[in-house]
Amino acid sequence: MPRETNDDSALKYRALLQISEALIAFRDREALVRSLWETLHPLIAFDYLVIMRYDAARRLIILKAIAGMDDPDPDRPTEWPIEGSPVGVILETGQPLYVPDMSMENRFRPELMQVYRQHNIRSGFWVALSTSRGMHGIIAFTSRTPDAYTAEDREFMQHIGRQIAIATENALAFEEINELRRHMEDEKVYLEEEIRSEYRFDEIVGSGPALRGVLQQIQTAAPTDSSILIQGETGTGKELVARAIHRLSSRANATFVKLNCAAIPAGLIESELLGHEKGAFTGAVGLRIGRFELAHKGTLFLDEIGELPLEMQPKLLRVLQDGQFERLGGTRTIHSDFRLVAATNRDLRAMVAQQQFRADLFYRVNVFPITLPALRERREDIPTLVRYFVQEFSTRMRRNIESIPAEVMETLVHYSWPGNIRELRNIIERSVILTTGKRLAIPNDDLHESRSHSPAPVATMEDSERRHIMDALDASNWVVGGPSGAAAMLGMKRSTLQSRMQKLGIMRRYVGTS
Amino acid sequence: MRAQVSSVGDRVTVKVCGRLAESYVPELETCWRSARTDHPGAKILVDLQHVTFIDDKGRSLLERMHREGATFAAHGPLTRAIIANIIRSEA
Repeated sequence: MPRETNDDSALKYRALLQISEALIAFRDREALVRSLWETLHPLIAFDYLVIMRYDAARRLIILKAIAGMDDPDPDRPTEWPIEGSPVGVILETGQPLYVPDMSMENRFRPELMQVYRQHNIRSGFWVALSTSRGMHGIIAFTSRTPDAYTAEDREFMQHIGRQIAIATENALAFEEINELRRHMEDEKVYLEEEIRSEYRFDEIVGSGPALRGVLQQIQTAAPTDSSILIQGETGTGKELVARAIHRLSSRANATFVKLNCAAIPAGLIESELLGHEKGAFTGAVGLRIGRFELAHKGTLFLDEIGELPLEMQPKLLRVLQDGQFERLGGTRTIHSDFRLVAATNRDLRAMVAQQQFRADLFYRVNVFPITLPALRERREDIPTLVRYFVQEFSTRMRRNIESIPAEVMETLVHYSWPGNIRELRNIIERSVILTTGKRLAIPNDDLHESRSHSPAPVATMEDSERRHIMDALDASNWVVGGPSGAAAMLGMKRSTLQSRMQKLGIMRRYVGTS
Repeated sequence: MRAQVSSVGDRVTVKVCGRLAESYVPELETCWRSARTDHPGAKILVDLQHVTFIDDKGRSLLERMHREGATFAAHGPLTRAIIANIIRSEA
């Protein structure tokens, strides 16, 4: 073999520079292989140039790019096990592999040899593409000429391999990131669809007149941009209605941002709504975007707005009026255009009268009130709801519950449901768990216990006074006056007590004796 | 929602999975019409055993399908109750 001349060295050096430039502009492997082909083919006699990826987890070699083949077979396999291949040998030895005469080779699998014979490959040089993180691929130079490569050629090809290794590893990482990003985007679309589908308007179950009235109100108010106040007992579906309003509004494609005002400590609710700049207060370790800002172009749902601290109410009012605010610790005015839907199970009007809620905020929020009926006010929907929840939980738990006995349904329809639909759902879920046959059985004890835990009726002032006076009279043996009399015990004049007794109809019953 | 038509001999089945509600209802209707066109005169069974929810639009479609000769296979108290009501009201 003739020794390499200075001209040869200069050509190879220039080739390495050209390859470096090609790697800087590297977009895809096909383009890289073409560039390598054009740069190296004048210097090294090869007929095929192949770049392959090594999948260590699956122990596979995956064909990524090939040059030199005019008409690649579309049915050609693109993945091979590493066992019985040049890559397997490289992994075993840790060295590049030179095969000077393929006809003398017996380390490779028969089907691989068939491929080499098919393309008349007589010699080849395989170089690992490795970085500090390990081997991630192979570049192969193969030829129809036996013993096609000198030692200098092979040393030069290893240089090329080292340069390509970094670029292809970055490209591989880039491809994986892209794949992950596509997957996450798909997942985001899927999850958003799931959220939308879970709270779709058509899944508000029921057809009774009370519910139909509410649905009509939702359809009327939702397309406007007006603030809506949803009122109703706990467990009546206020959030479900809020999401339905968002879905039916012109802001349906924007974000639905929710905040439960009772769930956030009073000291943190301002930061939750306005956001804060880094360092605004102890614990503000970074910038935080608040709910007002997150809800821009969308809907802000403030659940349990009656629990909003008084000091936060004027700030909310300002944002509702002007659409402007500053983050805590910030000076820049931020604009946010959102539609407010609020919900409460408290009597805000009464709270205004008791100065527990600002009147101006109440009137700003209460532009369109929607009142959700308690479940006991829409008993006609209970059978449908029961069947709906039984079917939902049966499917989820893979139970085969086909029917609800009439007496069970009767019990469920006539129960008071202080917890409304949420309580019904919980009891049905528990019932499905405990049912062993195909007919739903409900834990009646739960319903009885719930009844006994319901608050006792509050006595009137009159009843309380009557009872108090009776106790005093019993204690004094019905002696009204005097130091030991009932009037003295109650701290009032005898005449006053007698007047109260007359007004309350308190008279001593005499039992006749013979 | 997904609707799939299959036939074995002269038995045609339209299998419905998921929520039969709102925008999915016209899809089932299209599927139903295709099944009737492709299998004229056949008795078509509408398999609702994997339907999780039916709204008023879905119920209306099922009523029309029943009037046009569909029979139903249902599972779960809600779906069975809906089908039972449809059959009773048509009787």
